[in-house]
Amino acid sequence: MTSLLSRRTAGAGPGAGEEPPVRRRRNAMHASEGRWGYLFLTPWFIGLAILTAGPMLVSLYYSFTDFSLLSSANWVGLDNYERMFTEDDRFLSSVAVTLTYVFVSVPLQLAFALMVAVLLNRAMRGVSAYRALYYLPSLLGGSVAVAVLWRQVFGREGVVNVVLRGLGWENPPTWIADPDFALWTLILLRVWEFGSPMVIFLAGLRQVPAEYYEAAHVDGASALQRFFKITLPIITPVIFLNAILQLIGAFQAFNSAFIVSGGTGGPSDSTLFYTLYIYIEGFTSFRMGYASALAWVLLGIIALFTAINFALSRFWVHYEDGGR
Amino acid sequence: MDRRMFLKATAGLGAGATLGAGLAACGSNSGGSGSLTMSQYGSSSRLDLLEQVFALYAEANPDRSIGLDAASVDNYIDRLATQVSGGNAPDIMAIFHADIATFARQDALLTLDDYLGSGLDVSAFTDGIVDLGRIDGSVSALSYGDNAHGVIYDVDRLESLGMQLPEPGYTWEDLLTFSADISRAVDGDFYGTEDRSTQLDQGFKVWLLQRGKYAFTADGQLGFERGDLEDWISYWEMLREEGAAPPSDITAEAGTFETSALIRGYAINHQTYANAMNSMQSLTESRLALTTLPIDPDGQGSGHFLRGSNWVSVFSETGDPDTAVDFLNFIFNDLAAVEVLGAEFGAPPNRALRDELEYTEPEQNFIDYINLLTDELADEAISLDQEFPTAWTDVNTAFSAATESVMFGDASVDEAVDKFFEDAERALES
Repeated sequence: MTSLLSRRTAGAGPGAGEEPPVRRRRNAMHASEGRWGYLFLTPWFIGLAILTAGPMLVSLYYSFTDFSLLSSANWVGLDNYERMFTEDDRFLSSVAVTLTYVFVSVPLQLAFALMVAVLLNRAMRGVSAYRALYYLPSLLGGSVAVAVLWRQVFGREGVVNVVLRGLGWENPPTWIADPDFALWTLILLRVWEFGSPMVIFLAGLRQVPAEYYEAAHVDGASALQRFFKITLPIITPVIFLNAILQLIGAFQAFNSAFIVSGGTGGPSDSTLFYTLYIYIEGFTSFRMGYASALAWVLLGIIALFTAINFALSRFWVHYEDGGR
Repeated sequence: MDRRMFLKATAGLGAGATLGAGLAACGSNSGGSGSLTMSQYGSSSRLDLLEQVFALYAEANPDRSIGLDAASVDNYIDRLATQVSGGNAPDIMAIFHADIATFARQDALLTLDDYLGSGLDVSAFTDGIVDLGRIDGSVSALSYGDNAHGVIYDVDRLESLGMQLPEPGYTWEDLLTFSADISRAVDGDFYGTEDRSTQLDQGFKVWLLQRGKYAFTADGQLGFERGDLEDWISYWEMLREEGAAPPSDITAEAGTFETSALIRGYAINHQTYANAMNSMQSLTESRLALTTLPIDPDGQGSGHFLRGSNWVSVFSETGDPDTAVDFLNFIFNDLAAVEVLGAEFGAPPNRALRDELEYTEPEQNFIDYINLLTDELADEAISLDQEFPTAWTDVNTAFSAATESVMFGDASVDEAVDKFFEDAERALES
């Protein structure tokens, strides 16, 4: 600290008539600022090394072993990866369940979020209250409490069925206990948590210059035309950002399936999310080596879909400055 | 720092960080200081009882103390496994019966043979109960209480229908007609029995033993054939078709005592382990009572067998095994301690003390039931080693998957049985 202080007081501004070695001093400043910056970042680096990077590397090592969590690990080479792709039906069904979940819930959720954002993107009274209200489910969304509530809402005697019976459907299914519907209740839960993409969309919508709309209005464009010809193209970067974020988030979804299925992925493995399967393998079957391999494959799957997303973005994402 | 130590140090870290499980650092290695930790799952009332036992023990042994490490049932075993992995597990640990063999085979549990008769008195225990905890020839865990399979009936409901609690000795055929009658007698969504066909560790084991078979042989292979499983699945399919048992969605929504078909008001019974009696009774105003599962008139014996209820083990790396074992001796054989616990963990294995205690009505019902089974009806008990071989988890999963696929109408009995044997045999080979 003293060095910084002394530098401050020593360099009391260039006196008149002398050419201060500006550049050199700036470099010196940079170097010292950099040093201080790194010093203040140290806790984060330590955290990264111990809590993130370290465990990741260890899990990579474990993925090539038969580590059971209870005993020491023996190297088994690629056995875990081989088993996954050749003789593990549950792995395949968890991939199928997860892909269904991701590719149904993410587009629906984004469409819904965009729709609500457009509705909220106008000057009316109480709009901020509505915004907060619509954002609320996302704040609560990942929580255990909501999943527990969901389990009840869609249970045999849940609110949904009470309403349906009131409407004359005598024997509606038990949504969460029926293999044909259980996953759809989880998809619905995810769509309902549309708050965070909505807020990002709102910010995006604010970016669209008003004169575009005025010009279109003068040319007699309808509201729909204005939305599809002006709004949508201009906010494609924001749609892209949301798509990437939500895709990754949906692949990593765990809580809702864990709670609704009581940690089993049931009924009949219909809610066996990939992450839930990792958990079951690691902590129920005590195959931590295999669970680690599953986790690394998930990383690969997410990376693959993110890369595809980026590759496709060239064809539909439109940047104002023409930048790629 | 050698590799093993590094792995130990990082294992817990990795697992913990992966799932964001907070790792409670519990200093278990007390180096013989006489202060130990004990982990336990269960209700707060159960934990209170344990704390009282700890206090009694500290009173009797002023230089020793036991601290409670409580955890919820849901993540109890993952937490314990993580602690074992990090070498900082509690000195004494409650442990689920299906996990004991796994832990013991990985050398996580202290073998108690050297203490039997010297420091750990099991002379008054029910015959054979100690041997149930033998894994690979060594006693690795002790059961807090004797237990067995049973069926809990809502007797108020039975009486209102003018029916009686089925007496031990009724047959599977009787269960079908009796249950169908109940379903017909009650309007709406109510059934004469719940459907437990998907649980390998429940009625299926009793069903098998009546045929002289076990789920697994002593050398860890499947102990039953296609025909046994076909009959089992077909039997329950028949009950569902007759309306004697509930449709699949009611069954699929059940999982805990609270969500069982009986407590949710869909069925008149719950087929479970007998020691559930007390917990179940606390969830309903209706009077409950215990009876056996049905028998097979063409088979042999009752199919019921003595098993442990809640189990306790000592961590193999505890710093003070002598104190740990001494505490176990206390909790099993000290009258005051046994009085505090009552039937909380099952029927106290010390038969002399069991008979001295005063019980509540549901507890008494359970104790009488266990005494009847142990002394008269039970077949030869099976050790945990045989009940839960290495492939147990996978075979159990395959069993649920196969039986559920028929229940949900996704597969024929034949297809389901094929799939089960394919999956189970693959699991047993690997």
